[in-house]
Amino acid sequence: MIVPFQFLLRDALRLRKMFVWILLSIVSLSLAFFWQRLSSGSESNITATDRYVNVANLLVFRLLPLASAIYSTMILSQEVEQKTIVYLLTRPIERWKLLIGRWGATVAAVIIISLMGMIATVIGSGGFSAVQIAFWRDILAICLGAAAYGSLFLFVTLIFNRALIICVLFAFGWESSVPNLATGLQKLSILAHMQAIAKHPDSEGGKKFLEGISGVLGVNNLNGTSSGFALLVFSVVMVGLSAYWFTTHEYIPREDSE
Amino acid sequence: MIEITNASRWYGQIIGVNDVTCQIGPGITALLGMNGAGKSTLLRLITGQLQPTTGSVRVFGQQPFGNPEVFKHLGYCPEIDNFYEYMSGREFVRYMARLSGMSASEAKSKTNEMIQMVGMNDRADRKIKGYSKGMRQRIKLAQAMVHDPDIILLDEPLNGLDPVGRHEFLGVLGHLASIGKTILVSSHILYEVEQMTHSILLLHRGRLLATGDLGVIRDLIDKYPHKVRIETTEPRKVAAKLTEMANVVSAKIDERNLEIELEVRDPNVFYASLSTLVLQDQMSILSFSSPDNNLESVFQYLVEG
Repeated sequence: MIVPFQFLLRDALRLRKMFVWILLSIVSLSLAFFWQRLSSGSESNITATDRYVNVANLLVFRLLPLASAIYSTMILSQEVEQKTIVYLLTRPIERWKLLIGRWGATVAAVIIISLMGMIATVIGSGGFSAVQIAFWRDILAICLGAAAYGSLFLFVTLIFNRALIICVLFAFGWESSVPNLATGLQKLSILAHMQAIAKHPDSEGGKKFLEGISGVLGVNNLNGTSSGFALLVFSVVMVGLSAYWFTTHEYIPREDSE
Repeated sequence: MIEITNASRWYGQIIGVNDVTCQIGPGITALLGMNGAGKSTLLRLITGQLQPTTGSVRVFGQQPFGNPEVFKHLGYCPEIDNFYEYMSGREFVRYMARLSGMSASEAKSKTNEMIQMVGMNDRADRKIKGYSKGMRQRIKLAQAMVHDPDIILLDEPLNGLDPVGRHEFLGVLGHLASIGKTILVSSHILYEVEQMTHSILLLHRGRLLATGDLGVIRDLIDKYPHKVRIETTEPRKVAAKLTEMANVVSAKIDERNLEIELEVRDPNVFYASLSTLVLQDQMSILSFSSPDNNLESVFQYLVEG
């Protein structure tokens, strides 16, 4: 399990693949730094925590599912498309170990990407001391969120051809709308659970349309501990299902399967 | 070592392999068939990438689908040229060695050994994206052999190799066979196969048409008249001389008056006599070829008689 993990993580963290995420981290930093210009409140009302919370909600939490969708395709879909799947499936390694090792690598890559964004946001907000409580809760939310999104998207990529479209639709369709609704459907959104774990305080200086994008317009009554547990169980179940599916189904290079 | 019993594999409405039964043991065996005959499907069944729809495939007595125990004994060199292009050849082979359960140091030394064996030592540290087809073939062979398997399956391995590369490649295969490895090579080129082995499995439209010694199949074919095409500047004179030979059944001069198409029995005797005749009678023959000396003709003979 370690070998597939190491090799895929090394591939995922290549500078060429990280370039966009580094750029987005710089955007996070700039956005946190210049937040008052976007805000509706007066400059004096906006604290470092407000800047941090707003940018974390708007960028880091919203880009995590996108990163997860992109990186999840590296686990298997990309191998099938590139036809390199044949090398992996004819090696003396159990399929479930191969899959879980690779899933772990993509989750780790997504956490690293999100951490970059978080650290940039902290710097842009004016320092760690002012936001440290929110920061540590966010780290936990990001780790559990990355695992949950990764496991869900893994299962989708195992079942559907060209699954990236479905994953991105989920990340930007379902996850953008459901947390904003004042209904019990929030339980079915990973983002809503992440927000419950993060317990971001109501912040000053957010415009309504930005809050809509952040998915914080709805009333989130989810309990943080329960949400953490729910994401953990969900991840374990989805990875288990994926491992079973991958062990029992055929995967051959794309052209040959069509 | 490999035992296939009444194995069939369907892709929806299309049949890939149809009721194939055979056993493959040590030495080189060629899987011969035209494009679309089912060679790759059969190799995928043996390498456990696919499961048979009906029948069974056993490698060392075990079913191979998703079975790491089987893969310990099995090396596969696929037809595809796709790799992790950002890796070097050495990194790729080492990755495959590590996936086979080797420690880092063991993987490194086995990788170096295999890279040396396939003649890529001086180029193995370059990125794969800059490799030629021949270099890719060599790296594929290295990754197939890095965990020292007992069975090596090669799907069209000579594609893209230059004559020197082919010669070296055949030398490596011969060496592996001589140390007791089981090698199954797929090809659609009869000439290629004859250079490697005489033990063949002949596939046609998913069915196993013939197995055994290529010589026996050749003898079967030789029962029927062979076509021989001769290019000459004096077609009438040459045709008149050739028809005097006992094993020439018929001769036909083409419309351009440049070629003679002969039907001959026992072609080996004919070719031996032809050279004598050319020298004795000073006949001007520019070239000769046998349109029957290809796989399509073999199938035509075997299927249609």
